[in-house]
Amino acid sequence: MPNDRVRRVLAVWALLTLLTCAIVYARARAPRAAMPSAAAQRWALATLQSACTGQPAQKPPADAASYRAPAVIALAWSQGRVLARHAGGARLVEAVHAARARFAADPELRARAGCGRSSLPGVDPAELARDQVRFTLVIDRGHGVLIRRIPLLSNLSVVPLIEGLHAELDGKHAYVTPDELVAHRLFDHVVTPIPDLSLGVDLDRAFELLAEQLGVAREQVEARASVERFVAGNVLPQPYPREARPSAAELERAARQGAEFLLRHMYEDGRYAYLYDGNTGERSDGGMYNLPRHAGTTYFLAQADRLLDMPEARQGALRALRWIIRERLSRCGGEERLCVQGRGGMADMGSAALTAIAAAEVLRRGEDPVVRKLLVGLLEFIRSMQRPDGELMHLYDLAAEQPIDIQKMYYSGEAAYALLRSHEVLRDPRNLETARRLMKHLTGAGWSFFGSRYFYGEEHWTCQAVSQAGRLLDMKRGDPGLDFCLRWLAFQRVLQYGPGQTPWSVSGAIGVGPVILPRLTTVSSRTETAAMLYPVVRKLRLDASPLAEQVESSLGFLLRMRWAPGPAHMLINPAEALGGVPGSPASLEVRNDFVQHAGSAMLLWVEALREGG
Amino acid sequence: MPADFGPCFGVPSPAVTDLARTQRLIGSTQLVTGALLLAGIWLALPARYWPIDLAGSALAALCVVSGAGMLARRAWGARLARISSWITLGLGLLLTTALASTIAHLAGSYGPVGAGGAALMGTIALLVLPYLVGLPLLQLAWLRRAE
Repeated sequence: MPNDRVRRVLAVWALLTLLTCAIVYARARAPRAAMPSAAAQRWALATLQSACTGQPAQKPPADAASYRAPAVIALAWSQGRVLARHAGGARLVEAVHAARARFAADPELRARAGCGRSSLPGVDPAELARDQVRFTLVIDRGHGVLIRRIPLLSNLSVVPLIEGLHAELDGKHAYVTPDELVAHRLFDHVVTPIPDLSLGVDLDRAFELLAEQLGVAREQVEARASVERFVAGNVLPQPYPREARPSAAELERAARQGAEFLLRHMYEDGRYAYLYDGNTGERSDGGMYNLPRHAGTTYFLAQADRLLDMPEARQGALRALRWIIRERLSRCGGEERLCVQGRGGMADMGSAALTAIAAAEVLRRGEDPVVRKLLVGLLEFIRSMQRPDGELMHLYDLAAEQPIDIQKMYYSGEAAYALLRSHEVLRDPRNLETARRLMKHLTGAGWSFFGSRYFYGEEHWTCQAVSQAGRLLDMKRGDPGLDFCLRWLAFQRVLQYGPGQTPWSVSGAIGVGPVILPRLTTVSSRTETAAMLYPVVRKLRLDASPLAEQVESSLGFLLRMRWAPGPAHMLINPAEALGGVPGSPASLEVRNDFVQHAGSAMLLWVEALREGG
Repeated sequence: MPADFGPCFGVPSPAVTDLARTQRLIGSTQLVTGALLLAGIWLALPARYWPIDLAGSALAALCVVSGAGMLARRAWGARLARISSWITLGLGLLLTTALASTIAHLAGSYGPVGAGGAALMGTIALLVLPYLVGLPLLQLAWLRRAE
């Protein structure tokens, strides 16, 4: 047992720790001044807008005159960049009037075609809309201490989307708002071994932005400036995230705009823009064009055609499938076995399976002999890759003409879903049998180990296959696959955020902790599965209400985050970005599968609602 | 002959056997702790941060040397073991304070740290506390008894 001396040391330590925690908490906590009333916000934006139009400023509402905050910052944006700014004092009305005068006297701002003009002779209206100057207001609601020297904790010090940075140097003030941090891609800066778990802010670059405003070098800011976090209250012409109820009509509109986004960003040859940067308008694939995602996106377009009657989406899907046939189709182990050639002379199961899913979806809507031939050949290949225990081999070496027995994430689930989805259009019992054996492996022996009730993988494709089996086969209560998927979805519900659990408006999202912004595709893929399983659960007269709540909460999140028009001031061309779905609330990048998963989730729920959900 | 008279004709008395066993135990623990610390700092930590690297490595070296001294039954071995136990305890308590104040900071800026954050910090604490607080306390108690 510890002696008296040790006991005394421990007691003093406990007291000091308690005191330290109380002080740290109090210093980290930034006060949050109330926001101006809705009328005052509208007046402020209209007054700023009048700097462009030249119209006289309106009289402020009575409550605006008495509103005070630590500071009021006005920003003029165009094409995703801040063109001009004014950091005003504590009084809203004075700050807004001063900002208006400053913007009205800014020759560069006034010269913009999109500053207060709705039409100009000889100027394309789309070009004019793209050049539009958008004013936003940021209320400095209170300050908190910024940790600057402790690795990781200093990156976590600024709450993403909520807080910005304020610097004071020789009486001059500079503000970098959360939106500017997003536009400069400074959030999610610290990369972890799991790509989806990046977190924190890039403080070095943020200090550079402060230094630019102060007209000094970054080192000066680091050495001499007083830098703090500030809690920002955004006043935007169009609120984002925008509240939306996941009604069938709203979901159909969102899915349609998602399909239109993909078609708008599709190349002539049938490929999609893999990544679209909403801030710069750049399309890229970084040498990483992904065939399973190409096929998955094609599946969504075919789904949009079937459920939303969009012939242009069918044309897009056919173009995308023809690109695969033309550029990537190969034979793997026999004339009749078609596979999709990927990198390094390999054909992988994921590309074949998702291409088959897309082809089956196209055929559900209408016949196409080329697509049918493609589907039959791909399924021959998938069946040929099955091991005696039901699992599939996931790679095929085209040069050696040999399958390689390794397993990659998602592929088996995708293949099971492809086999079952295709049964509706091909009615080939061999596909059903292969799927049955594969799923028995995936949800039974393949997931049976100590702790398997507490740990789950990425099973959204597997469980979509189970849902499909529930529709096609005589599934009963207690079916092992169904039980597995219900447990998996219940596990996801535990990870689903409710209101007030994080600093952000992300209720319905799935996350692993309050300092990491949730990713949208994680939510979308779970929602696809839950929406697809829902009718099966109802058919078996099991309690479907937790699934319905889970789906509606997630869809509410997706609807809030999609770009309709999204954070228009941060987008180079909101019309071009309409319907996009970003990777996370702090990202302005859209990957083709982000839109696909979100759109498919919406349409699957629409389908469930139409079936009487 | 009194029991605490010492070894006689090559047969160790019970007190001497106990003492030797305690010395071996503390010596081995010190060696394992030193090795774990070195592996943790130089293999497990994802980034180099000199205050941690330097202080941790120095402490690991102290553990290893004192462990060797204890196993070799040198008088300085016990003295060094006591010093290293106090330093380890001090660092463990400091680390616990740092973890607690990190939670306080995140709770202050982000609001409730939530179940995820609490689980993460709890896991770190559970991984650290037995080695950096529990073990040195036990070693100090053993060393006192061995005196």
